[in-house]
Amino acid sequence: MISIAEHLSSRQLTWASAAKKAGLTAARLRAVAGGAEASLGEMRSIAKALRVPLSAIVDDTPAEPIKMLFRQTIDQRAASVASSVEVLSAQIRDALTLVEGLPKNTAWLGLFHDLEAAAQGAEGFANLFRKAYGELDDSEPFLHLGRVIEELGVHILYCRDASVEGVSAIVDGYAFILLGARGFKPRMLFTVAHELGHLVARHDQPNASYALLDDEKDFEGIPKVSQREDEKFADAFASALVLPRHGVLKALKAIRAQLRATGPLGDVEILWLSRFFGVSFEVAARRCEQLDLLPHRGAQALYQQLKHEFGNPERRAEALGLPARENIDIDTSPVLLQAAARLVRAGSISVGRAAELLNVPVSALFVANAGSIA
Amino acid sequence: MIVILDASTLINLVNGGVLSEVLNLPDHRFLVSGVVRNESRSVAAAVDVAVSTDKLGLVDDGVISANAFREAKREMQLDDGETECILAAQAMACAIGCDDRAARAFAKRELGEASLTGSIGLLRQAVVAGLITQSFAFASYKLMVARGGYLPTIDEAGF
Repeated sequence: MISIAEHLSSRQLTWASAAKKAGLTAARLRAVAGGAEASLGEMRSIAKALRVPLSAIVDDTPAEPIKMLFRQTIDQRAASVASSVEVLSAQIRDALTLVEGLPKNTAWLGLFHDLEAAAQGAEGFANLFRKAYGELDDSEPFLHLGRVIEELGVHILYCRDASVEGVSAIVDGYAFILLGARGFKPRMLFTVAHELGHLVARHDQPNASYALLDDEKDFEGIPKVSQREDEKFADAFASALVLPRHGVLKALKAIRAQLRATGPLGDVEILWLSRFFGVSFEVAARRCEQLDLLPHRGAQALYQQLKHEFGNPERRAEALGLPARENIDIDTSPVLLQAAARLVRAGSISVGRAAELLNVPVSALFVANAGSIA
Repeated sequence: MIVILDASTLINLVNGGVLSEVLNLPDHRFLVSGVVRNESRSVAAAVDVAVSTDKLGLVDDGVISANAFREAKREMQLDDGETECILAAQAMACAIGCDDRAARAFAKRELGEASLTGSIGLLRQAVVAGLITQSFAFASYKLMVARGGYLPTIDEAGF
């Protein structure tokens, strides 16, 4: 367990700002952090100010083995992610208590046997995945990706730490994708594809445990090109998975014909493209750049222009009267909810604790139970 | 009599469409923890209405020490809300309303059986108080079960 002071430092908060957010004086916050007796109400306020679950500053049950998995990559040893690593390690440790007894779920990685996970080959991985598991051709949108991943047996959960965009992990033979909850589902579709890319990259060692987190800041605006090979692969895989090359070219041709567009590719066509494939404008624009349909840094320029003129690309799409986005289903794995509901019915675990382990509201366990009864 | 309702009971009462009737039980004062409000959108709306009309009060989490909470969490392995309900009931020497099997076992041990009730017990009391009929209570119970309530099997005569 890391201390309140370490959480503060990791989240780049000052004592004064955190104390203000918690409704305490800085002196009182320091005293509590130093071990002074505190009330539950005070601890809850501090957790809220730190944007961590209460358990992160109250629970002293160690999650060390999983924490070590995160720390195997150099980036994840940095103090700036120590707080997130702490919260997510505990979440994976907790989730493991629910998956025990469920079948291990990494056999599907065998599809990529003999392929080398390098960024330049990521498109091949994505095409293979689309065809074999998505049952899609090379043009269709992949809006049901979340369901396909669940059917493969990968467990999807929402992160307890909202400042994290996504996590991929294989622990004890169980594969997990943890997602930062976002109101804008297209962003989550790309994140889930990106995390899937990390899992796929480890296809040749399905039994080796690892855990990797992706920061929120790397997914805001036009995603930066990472210098790390594993990030490059995951990004290239995700782009090709949700925006297949042939599909993008075909869709753009149809969109431009419909709009009677001539000249260079513009924001309107990309907005249409983003809606068709269920991704954000930023991701669609960057894919166009990758496919040399936009000049270098053209995606960033278009995005900045839309942000400046309309606040964000979605507002521009609304102003243009584009059809509403289709629903994208990405939710906590039903298998986990059902497993938890079984344990609650048996009295092995309380419904609240099950909800806490899965990071869902208690009502989600009622819905899962209703489904079991029906 | 003060009764602290945990999420399982609150959700069941809302799902059974009987929360307002139960909150009208004479000589009862009902409280909930602030965290319970976030457990369901439908519960949040119902809690907000009940709190604004003073039918429901909020547990003061300032009366519970963080150390006691940590110890209780470790020992009982319940969630934050369930643990808080039991500790608050201990601190205030009052009862709790809880439908969860695992949490009820700890509540019974910590508070005693007389200080433990749940949706079914509250429905029965509402029938006795003349707030609802026996058949209404049974219909509410069936709704709770159909909507995923973790409740034992019981027939109409049980109300």
